[in-house]
Amino acid sequence: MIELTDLAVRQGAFALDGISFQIESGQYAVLTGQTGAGKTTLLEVVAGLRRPSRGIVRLNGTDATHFPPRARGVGYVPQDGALFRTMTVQEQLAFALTVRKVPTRDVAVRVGELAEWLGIAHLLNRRPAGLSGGETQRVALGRALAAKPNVLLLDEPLSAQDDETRAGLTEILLQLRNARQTSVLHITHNRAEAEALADVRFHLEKGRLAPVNSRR
Amino acid sequence: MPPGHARDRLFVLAVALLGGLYVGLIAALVFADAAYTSSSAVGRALEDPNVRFAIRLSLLSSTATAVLAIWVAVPLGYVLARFQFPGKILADALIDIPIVLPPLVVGVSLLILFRTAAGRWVEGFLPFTYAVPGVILAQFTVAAAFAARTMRVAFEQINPRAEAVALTLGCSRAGAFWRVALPEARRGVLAAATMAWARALGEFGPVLVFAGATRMKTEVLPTTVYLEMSVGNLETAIAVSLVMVAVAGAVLLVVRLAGAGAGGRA
Amino acid sequence: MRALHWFLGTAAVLAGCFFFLQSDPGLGPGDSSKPRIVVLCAAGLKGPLESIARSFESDTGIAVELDFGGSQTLFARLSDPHRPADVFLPADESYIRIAREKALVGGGTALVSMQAVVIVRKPASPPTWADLTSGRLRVAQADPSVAAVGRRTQEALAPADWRALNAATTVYKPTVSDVLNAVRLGGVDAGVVWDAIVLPHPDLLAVHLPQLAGVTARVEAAVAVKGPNPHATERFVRYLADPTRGGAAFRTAGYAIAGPATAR
Repeated sequence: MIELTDLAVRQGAFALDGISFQIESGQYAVLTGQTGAGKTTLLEVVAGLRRPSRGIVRLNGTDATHFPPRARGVGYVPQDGALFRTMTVQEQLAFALTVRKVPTRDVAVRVGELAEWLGIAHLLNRRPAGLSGGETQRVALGRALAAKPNVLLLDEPLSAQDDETRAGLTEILLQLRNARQTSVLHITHNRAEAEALADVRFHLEKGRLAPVNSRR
Repeated sequence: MPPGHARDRLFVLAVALLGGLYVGLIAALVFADAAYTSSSAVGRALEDPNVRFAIRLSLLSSTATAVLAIWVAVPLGYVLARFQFPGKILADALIDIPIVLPPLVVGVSLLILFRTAAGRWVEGFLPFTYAVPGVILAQFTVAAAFAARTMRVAFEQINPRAEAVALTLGCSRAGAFWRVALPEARRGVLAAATMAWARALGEFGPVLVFAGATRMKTEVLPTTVYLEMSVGNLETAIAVSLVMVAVAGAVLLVVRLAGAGAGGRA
Repeated sequence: MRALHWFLGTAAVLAGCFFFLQSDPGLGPGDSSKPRIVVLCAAGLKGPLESIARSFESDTGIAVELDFGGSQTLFARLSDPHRPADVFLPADESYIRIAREKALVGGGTALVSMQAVVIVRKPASPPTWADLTSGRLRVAQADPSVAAVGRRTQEALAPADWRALNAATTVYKPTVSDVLNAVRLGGVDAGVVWDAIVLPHPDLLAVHLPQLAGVTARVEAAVAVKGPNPHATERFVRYLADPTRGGAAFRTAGYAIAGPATAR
C-alpha cells in the first residue's frame, strides 16, 4: 500500500504541491502527466531518494517519510533501466538478495525463477552493453522484483520501445498486476498505456493532481 | 564515388594529420635524444650506483605516491561529482592550485609549511624536509590534484541512477559506492593512478626544493638529469632521460594492458 | 568487505614500497654512531666534490652527505634551523658574505678561483672580441641578477665593452652550466663561462680575451655556525683546502687554486 498525504516538493523552477493519493495493496496505479510535470520526482520521493519539503509517505501503513531507501521495501525501475554496467544479468538479478546476505542456493532459485518468467534465461551471463531496450527493461524489472518488494515503482517502462517489444513488456506487466502481490505505481505520458494497465489512474498537471476522466 | 565521399576522406585525413603531427613531434624528440647519446653512455649510466639508486627511489616513490593519490582522489572526485555543498567552488579552485602553480612554488610552499609550529611537530615524528618522505609528499601534492580531476570526470560519467537503484535494493550509501559506483569507475581509477604515477615520476621542481638533491638519499631520476645537466654532462643527462622514458613506457604499457584486460569484462 | 579488500590491496602496495625504501642501505635510519657531515654544495662543483668526499670518507671514516642545488636554494636550506648543515659551498663567495652577515656561517676558506672565458664548439675558429660583439655570432651569457659569472662580467667589463656585449647577446641563461649546454647543443655559437667547467668537454674551445681578464670569481667553503659536527667539519674544510688532497682534485678537474682570501 502506498499512501501520500499533502506532499510537497520544491525543486528549482517547479514544485509538487498538495499531492495526496492512496494505492491499495496489490493495486496497479498509473500516474500520467506531461513530460516535466514532476512524475519522476514523485517516484523518487516514494523511493526515498528525495526528501519532501512537507507531507507524509506511508508504505504498508507505516510512516516511511524519513526512512532511507533501503528500509522501504520498494522496487524501482528507472526510465533508462540504469543497469549496473560491471555486472552480469545474473549478478543484477541476484543483487538485492546478495546485499541481504540470502544463502547462495536460495538466490540461485529466485534468479532462475525470475529469468524464466521474464524470458531472459539465455542472457544471464551477458553484461548490459549490447542488450536491447526490451531486454534492458526486463532485467531492470527482475532486479527490482528479486527481493519481493511490497511496492514497485516503474518510470516510463514502455516508452522508447518498438511496438513488438512494447507488447511483450505489457504482457509481463499484466501478469504482474494479476498476481496481486505488489502495489505498483507506473508513470507514463501515454494515455493508451494507462488504459491498458491501470486499476486506478491519477493525472499530474502543473505540480498538482488533477481528476482523471475515464476510470475502470 | 557517392557525392561528398571525397570531402569525408579529406576530413579524416585532416584529423589524422593534425593528431599525427603531435605524435610525430614526440617520436622525433625521443629519436633525437637517442641519436645524441650513445648506447655506451646509457650503459655507463645504468652501471652508476647513483643512477641505479635514483631509478629505485623513483619507481618506489612514484608507486607510493600513486596509491596515496588514489586514496585521496577517489573520495574527493566522488564528492565533487555527486554532491552540492557550500564552498564547492572554492574547493574546486583550490585543487587547481597545484596544477597551475609553478612547481618550484609548490616546493617552497611545502618548505614554509613545515617551518610552522604544526609542521615542526609533524617532523618530530617523521622528518619530511630533505628526506625521502619529503620526496613522496612533494610528488603527492601535485599528482593527487591530477588524479582528483580524473576521478571527478570518471564519476561524472557514471549514471547516478544506478547508485539510486542500489539504494532501493538494500544498499547503504557506502554499499552503493563500493558495489556500484567504484566498480563502474574502475577505468577512471586506473587512469587516475597511471596519471598520478607518471606525474610523480616526472616531478622535479618541488622534489628538488623540498627534498633536496642528496646523492643516494633523495635523488630521483629527474634530479639526476638536473645534476648531470648542471655540470654539463649532457650525454649522461640524456642517457638517464632515455632510461626514464623506457622505464615509464614499460610500466604504463603493462598497466594499460592489464587495465584493458580487466576492462574487457565490463 | 569490498572496502576492506580495496583498502588492504592498495595498502599492501604502499607497505611494499615503504619496505623496500626502508631496506635500502642509503635510506634506512643509517648508522648514527658514524660521524656524518652535511655539505651544501653548488651543483656546478659536483665533479671534484664527489671525488673529494669519497676520498675524505675513506681517509677519515667521516661520512659526507653532499646536497646539491643552486646557490640560492642552498642558501635557503642553510637558513632552515630545523635541518642543520655543516658546510656551505656556494658557487660564489658573495653568498658566503650574505650568510656571514646573517651570522649563519663563520669565515670562508678560499678554495679555487675561476676566470671567465669565451667558449665555442670545435672546430670553430677562436673568436675575437670584435667577432663576439659584431652581432654575427649568437652569444649566450649567464643572467647577471642570478648567476655569478654574469654579475662579475657586468661588474668587471669597461662600460662600453659591457654595452657592446649586452647588445650582441642573444640569450641570458640562469646558470653558467646552462650557457655551456647551450653552446654544446648548438643553440648559440659562443658563450661566456668559467674556465674551470670547460675542461671535461673536449668538444669545446676556451678562448681567453683581454677584455674578460678582470672577470674572476672565488669559490669559498664556510662552516655553518650551528652545524652539529664542528670538529669533523673543520677537518673536512682543511681537507678541501689542502693542496695535496682537495686541491689536487680541483686541479685535476681544471680549477685554479685560489690564493688567500682577499677583499675584492
